This record gives sequence, C-alpha cells and structure tokens, in this order.
Amino acid sequence: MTTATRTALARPDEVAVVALGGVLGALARYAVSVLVPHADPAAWPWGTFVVNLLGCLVLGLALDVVDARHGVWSATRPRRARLARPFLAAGVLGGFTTFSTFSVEAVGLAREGSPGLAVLYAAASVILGVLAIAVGRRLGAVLAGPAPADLRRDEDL
Amino acid sequence: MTPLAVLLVALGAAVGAPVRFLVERRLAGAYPWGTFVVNVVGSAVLGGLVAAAGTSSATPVVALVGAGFCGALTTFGGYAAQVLDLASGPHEIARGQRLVRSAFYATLSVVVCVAAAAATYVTVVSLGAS
Repeated sequence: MTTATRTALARPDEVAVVALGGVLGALARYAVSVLVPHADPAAWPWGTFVVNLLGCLVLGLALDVVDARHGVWSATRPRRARLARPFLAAGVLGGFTTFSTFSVEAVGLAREGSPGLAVLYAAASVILGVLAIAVGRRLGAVLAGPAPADLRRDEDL
Repeated sequence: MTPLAVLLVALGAAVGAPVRFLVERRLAGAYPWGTFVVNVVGSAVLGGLVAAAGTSSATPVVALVGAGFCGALTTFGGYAAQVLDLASGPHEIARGQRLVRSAFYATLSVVVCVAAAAATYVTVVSLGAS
C-alpha cells in the first residue's frame, strides 16, 4: 500500500466484508453461468466474457465513487470509509469476475476450437476489460467527482 | 441451480475471496504480485478440476472448488484495474516506462495463467488415460 490510510495487515472486519461480498459476487456469476451455459468448449464463452466486462465496468465506477467519498466518510462515517472499498472491490466484484474460468475457457478454445479464437478471446477480454475499468472510472468521476490521486493505487483488489 | 449448489458456491467463495485479499495485502509492491499469484493458482486448480470432472461438470466438487473457491480466489476485474493503474502512475516514472510495465504485467498474467490451466488440464487427462 502506498497510502497510510490503509493498513498493511487486514483487520478481521475487513476480511469479513470481503468474504460476504465475495459470496454475493460469486453467486451472481454462478447464476449467469447457469442461465448462459458454456457447454461447447469450441464456442465463444459469452457468459464469462460478459460477466468479466460488466464486472470491470462496475468495478471502475465503484473504485472512483468510493475513493472520491473517502475523505467525507472518514470524517463522518469512519467504518464505511474503511470497509466500503474491501466490500465492493475485493469482495463483490472480485468474487463476480473470474480469471480461472477465463484461463480454462481459453485452453478449451485452443484445444477444441482454434488457437486463433483462443488468442482473440484472451486479447478481447483484456483490452475491453481495461477499457471498461477506464469508462467505469470516468462515469464515477462524473457522478461523484474524481478520486484523489493518492487513493488510486489498486493493489487492494 | 439447486439449493445445494448455491450453498457450495457460497461456501467456496467465502474462503476464496478473503484468501485473495490476504495474499494481495501480503505481496503488494511495485507490481501486484498477490493478484498474479492467486490468479495463477486458481487457474491451475480449475484446469485440473475441469479435466477430472470431464463431461460431468455439474458435480458438487465443481460447484464448491470451481465456481466457488477458484472463481472467487481469482479476479479479472482486479487484474484489469491493476493493468490500467500500472499505466497511469506513479508519475515519477516516465509514461513510456509505465506503459511497458503495464503491458508486461498484463501479458505475463494471461500467458502464465493460461499455461498453468493447460498444464494441469493435460496432466490430469493423461493420468486418467493411463
């Protein structure tokens, strides 16, 4: 961590809200995977693709709003100031988006479909994912104002 | 989407997400190696699990360890946010160098995670065939 406002070691209540948020995010992802099943490994993995991009968009938005509000909340709602980011970012959106399924689907595409399609899936996910974070942050800045620069480090995800 | 499957996904995620958070806090530095490590480990575990499950993908173990634990242990959103973050700052580092660092982290994560998933997948399939 680069800021003194966040401690290096996690407190029990931070770990608890990450677990709670992670459960909510994972269940939402699981619901999408049931509604949009990925039965054929050679086919484009639409479920995970949309989950990850949507998750990136909302994460960018959440990060900016939480960081922009951090100063106000620190003065009036210290617990919210401390727990909103772990709950939303590491918890809900960390649990909602997934890298493991993305990796396994890329392997499946390369094996059963074509290597070119696997590369396209990986590249499209990464490039559009980073773009979605940027768009989400921009939306957050419009809604809540820009986040202070010293809070914009994202190791804590 | 049975009640049992929902419970197992929730249980797996209740462990996976905090483990990611704790590893990230522990390994935070110039690069977000914590996220890198959990993404590689989760991809490797899921690759082996999917190979072992074969066509019967709707098993309790897949719900608990796959969708629950590995799904929540790994993060795509956090990874993408870090890629953008590495490109954006800190401003003491020249812009060109930041872009190189960002591209390095972005590419390394994808290549190593996909390779890890492929390695465990192939290993488990070949163990099952022998």
